[in-house]
Amino acid sequence: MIVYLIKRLLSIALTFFIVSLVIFLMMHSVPGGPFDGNDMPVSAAVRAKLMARLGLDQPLWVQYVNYMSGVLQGDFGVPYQSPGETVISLLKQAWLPSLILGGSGVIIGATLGVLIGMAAALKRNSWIDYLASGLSVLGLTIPVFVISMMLILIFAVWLGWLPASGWGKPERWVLPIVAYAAIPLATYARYTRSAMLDTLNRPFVTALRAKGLSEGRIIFQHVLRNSAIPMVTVFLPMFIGTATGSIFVEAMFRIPGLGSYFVSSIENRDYPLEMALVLMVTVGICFAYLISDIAYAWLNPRIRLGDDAR
Amino acid sequence: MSTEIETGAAVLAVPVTSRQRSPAYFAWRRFVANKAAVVGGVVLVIVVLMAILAPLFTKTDPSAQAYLTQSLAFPSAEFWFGVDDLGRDFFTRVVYGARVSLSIGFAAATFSLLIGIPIGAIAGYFGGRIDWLIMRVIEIFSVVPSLLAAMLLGALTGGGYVTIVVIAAAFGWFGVCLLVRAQVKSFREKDFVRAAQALGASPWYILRRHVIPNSLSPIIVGFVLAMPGAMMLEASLSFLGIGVAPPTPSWGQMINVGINFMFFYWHMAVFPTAALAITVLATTLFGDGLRDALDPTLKGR
Amino acid sequence: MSLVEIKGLKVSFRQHGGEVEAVRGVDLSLNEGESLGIVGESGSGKSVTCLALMRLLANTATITADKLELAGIDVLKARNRQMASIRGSAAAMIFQDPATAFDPVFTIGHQMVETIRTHRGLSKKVAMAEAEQLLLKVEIKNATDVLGYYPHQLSGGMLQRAMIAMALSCRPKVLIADEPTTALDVTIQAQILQLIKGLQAEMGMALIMITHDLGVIAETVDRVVVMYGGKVMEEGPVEEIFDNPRHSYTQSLLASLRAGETRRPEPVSSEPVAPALELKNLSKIYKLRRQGRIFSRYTDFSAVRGVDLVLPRNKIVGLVGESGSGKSTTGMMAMRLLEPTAGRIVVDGADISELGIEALKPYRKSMQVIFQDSYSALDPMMTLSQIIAEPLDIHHMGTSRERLEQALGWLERVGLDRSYGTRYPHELSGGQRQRVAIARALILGPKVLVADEPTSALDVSVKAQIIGLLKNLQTQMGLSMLFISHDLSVVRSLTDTVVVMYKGRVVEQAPTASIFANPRHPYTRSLLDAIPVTNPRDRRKRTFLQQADIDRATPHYVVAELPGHVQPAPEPQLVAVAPGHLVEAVVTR
Repeated sequence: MIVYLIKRLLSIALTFFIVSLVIFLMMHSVPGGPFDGNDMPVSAAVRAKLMARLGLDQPLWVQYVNYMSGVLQGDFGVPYQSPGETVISLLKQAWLPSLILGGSGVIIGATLGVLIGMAAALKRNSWIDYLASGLSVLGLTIPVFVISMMLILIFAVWLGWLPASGWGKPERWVLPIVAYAAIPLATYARYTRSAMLDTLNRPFVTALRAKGLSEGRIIFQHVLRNSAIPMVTVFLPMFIGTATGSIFVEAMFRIPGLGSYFVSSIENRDYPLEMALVLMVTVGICFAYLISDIAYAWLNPRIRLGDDAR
Repeated sequence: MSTEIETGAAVLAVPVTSRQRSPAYFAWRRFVANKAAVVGGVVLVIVVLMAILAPLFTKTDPSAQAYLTQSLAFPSAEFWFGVDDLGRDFFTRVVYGARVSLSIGFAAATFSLLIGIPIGAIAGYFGGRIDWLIMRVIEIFSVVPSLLAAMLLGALTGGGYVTIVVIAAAFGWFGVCLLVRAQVKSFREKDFVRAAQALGASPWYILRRHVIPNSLSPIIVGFVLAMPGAMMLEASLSFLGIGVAPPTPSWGQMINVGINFMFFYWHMAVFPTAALAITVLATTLFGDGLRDALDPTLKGR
Repeated sequence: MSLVEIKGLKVSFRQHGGEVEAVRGVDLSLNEGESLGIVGESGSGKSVTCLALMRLLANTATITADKLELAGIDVLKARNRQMASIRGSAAAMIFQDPATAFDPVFTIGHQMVETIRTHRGLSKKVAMAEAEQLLLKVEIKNATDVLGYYPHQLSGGMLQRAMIAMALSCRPKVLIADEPTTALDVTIQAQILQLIKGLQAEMGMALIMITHDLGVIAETVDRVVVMYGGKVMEEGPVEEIFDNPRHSYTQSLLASLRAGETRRPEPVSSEPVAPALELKNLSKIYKLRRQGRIFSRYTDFSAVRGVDLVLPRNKIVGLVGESGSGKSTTGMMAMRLLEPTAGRIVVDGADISELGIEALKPYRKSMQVIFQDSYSALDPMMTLSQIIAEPLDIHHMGTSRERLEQALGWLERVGLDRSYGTRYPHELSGGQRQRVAIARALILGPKVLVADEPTSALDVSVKAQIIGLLKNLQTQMGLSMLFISHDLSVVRSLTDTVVVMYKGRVVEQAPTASIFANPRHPYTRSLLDAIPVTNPRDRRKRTFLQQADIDRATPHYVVAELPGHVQPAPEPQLVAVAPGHLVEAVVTR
């Protein structure tokens, strides 16, 4: 298993570098730099000087290497839009809202989703089953900003129960967390349900019953364990979905988190900020990938021990 | 046929029904049994028809600012969806928005097929190194969040219709590819392929006569399921301002505008949201239903 | 005391568009210590009856009965907890596929201990020791290791034994065995059956043996119930049933079983002509990847090693062996569907070993193949007439109308009505599909037919029909057939010569009669010994040889004893001990 993990680690590291390179090239290959916007016209001479100062006149690969070596030491450069701080310090404040809201949303959503999915699988064609299917379809097909919109419309505008925006007191957190929870809930309700149904249909469950085990033991020990594998593999796409969703949620609820910086950095062509954010997201995703790979390898004895028959 | 081991054949004869049932018939039966999928399909057809026949039942051109004096009017008998902030009939705009979403969905799905099918077929049929390489590529693509990359690309190229289609296809092809690859892989090992080889058939004959007809179901399913993703991508990008350019009506765009007005002029936000949600939902339900109905492992057995 | 009482049992399943009646009024009883066999083909309801008895059927099943009692408990009325308490303890069940009886994510030991602790409440340590004892009892030598293995790490036979051990762990009063040996090689089957009988006697258990194989019945049970179409056709003591079957269905089952005892009449010998097919020194070596520490290591695995085979014109040669013997691999290489690593293939005098696809095409017309799995052998999207006409299509023969005519003609020739031409494979039964496959293989009029276990997946009576069909067609068309099978009784009635393969090599080859009357190689002998008897009176205890024993018992000859010129060598080689009778032996001076 160690071997398997090392191979995965290398593969993920490779992916990380490829992605960073591609994004870097993409950003720099499009004409138009940070100073070409209409609201800050500068003369050609000044421009040349600024570019040199920021290292933008070097050949691309040099810029890339410089940048990446800096990154590996923890230096992400200085954002164009607020040169007084470093990218890191700017983002440090933005971390918190995203983490708290996003994290709680995911945890709450995933847990509820698993519970609903389990109940749906065990009581087929009951109201729980239809609820689960319904929720999962809705959550997965309706874009996150639409969900946020509907939440705001219903709870803030119409019912007036909760504030619609801002970041500060806990009551402002409720709606965004619900919005964040939508995707994990939908994903896990659906996948838990189908994974459990699949497992319940497998012949070894009949054999377990034939042994005289109690229904409870069969479900909680055997079925759940066997269903865990597909549930683990869906963690990654769900994580990605949540990460991208954060952009919209933060826009809708006016939360000063990482997502909103992403949008502004793109609009302003703020390369360092943009790169840093993209890299962070990529690292996060690669990390999630690694975790789901580890969990998968650990849960599946075929991979854990190798496939030899004796 | 007469052999000495015929005793009891009469007792053992299996009564066979006399009606012909093709695999397609069974698929249809299964599909129809799935009510949600049927409803989804019907809704989708309605939306498509509305989009195509839009000029027939809308008052004006969607960009015509004909009702400036009644800007932001609420829905009424005269203006079914009300009037938007620039004096345009909102119903018209929403209906024409369907054109944008659906056409992007179809176009992106088509390109996804064009790219995904050959690559999937090659990966599935030849296996080995080629397959390994293609799977690594797909792995890299799947790690990158499509929306973020789309935003980057969109921002860089300034958005626009073509860009969106390209991006949607670029992130949609591997769904189709995986489906086709799985199908081809499972069929490569089937005995009827070996039998055809034993008969002297060339690989092209086998691909043409056996592999492709049997791969129709994942292709159809892949097409239909690629659409919602493309539509959502367009809506998200338009929402952020880097999608389809105004004044072409796009639901995502309208939602963006709608947010600013939603506290009082709720109709600005509700209608485009509902339109988007319903269309995406219908397409997904229809696609899921198709996939369940066409699942080859269930064909008539 | 009556363990099982079933009266008037009816089971039906709800399905798409209607109910399907699987069991239509069955009466059964079983006392302590008795052994009962339920025999029937697929669809007869034999398994469903026992699953209903244990209440293991899905919710879509409706069960009604006048009486359904197991170990004194009314199964229809019992609460879930009551049922759970008798399952595994009063009545235990073993299944056909042992891999599906174990949870893949837990070790064997864990699952056995689980059963023991559920019913006997022992501590973990004691239960684990119990489990180890049980594994030793089912003749698993490395019991301590096996306790820590996961199901995927064990072979089929070992897993079957472990499943039996788990079933016996709570000393059930009755053991229900649902086709426990159907998926096993014949030698392993014999061992498992003997094991079950032995354990039954030792523990005073009752046994219900569900099977489609009358041979298994003859070996193991005292009373028989014959089922067909959800009803009991006949029942009685096993000798009665075998000597005096009263119902026509029972009679036809027995006829199919005993068909293996009639021999194929000696065909008229004609002038010497080049053999239809010749395999010379054929070998196939696979490179297997083994997981190394960091990199993978490759080892060579010889699936087939130096096989020589001659298929004379207008004769049927049986290629026999168990799983892993290389017989199917040999057959596939002969057809060039698999590339040989070494050796030559000669068809009708022409060497086709190296020809490319284009050059091979004309030869494809003279050699054809039929496979074991009739379902995957037919394209589900094509109609039957299209399938049968496909060979004509590939070789561009005739107009489409002519092709259709020929295809329909062949449909009739293999015993199906012309109207079937527009049907699809999934509408047919296994036997009917195999007929279509035969028609497709023969429509081009090949000279050589390779049949790779064509009847292994079929019911007993259908097997007999297909064999009969093949026999007829062979005589009519003068086909030369290479019939690959693990089923010796089928081979006996069909073939002229038998070639026995073991671990990739030919170990014996002789005319069919000689092989059965006078087998010389120890493996052939053990194979013949393992065949289930066809009459309960012939039951006997057997001893089984392990591979080491077989190697040691390789016959040794001195050069002088053998006809012809033979070179002595330290390795075993194939030598002729009598005209036409070859044995692998070690020859010394």
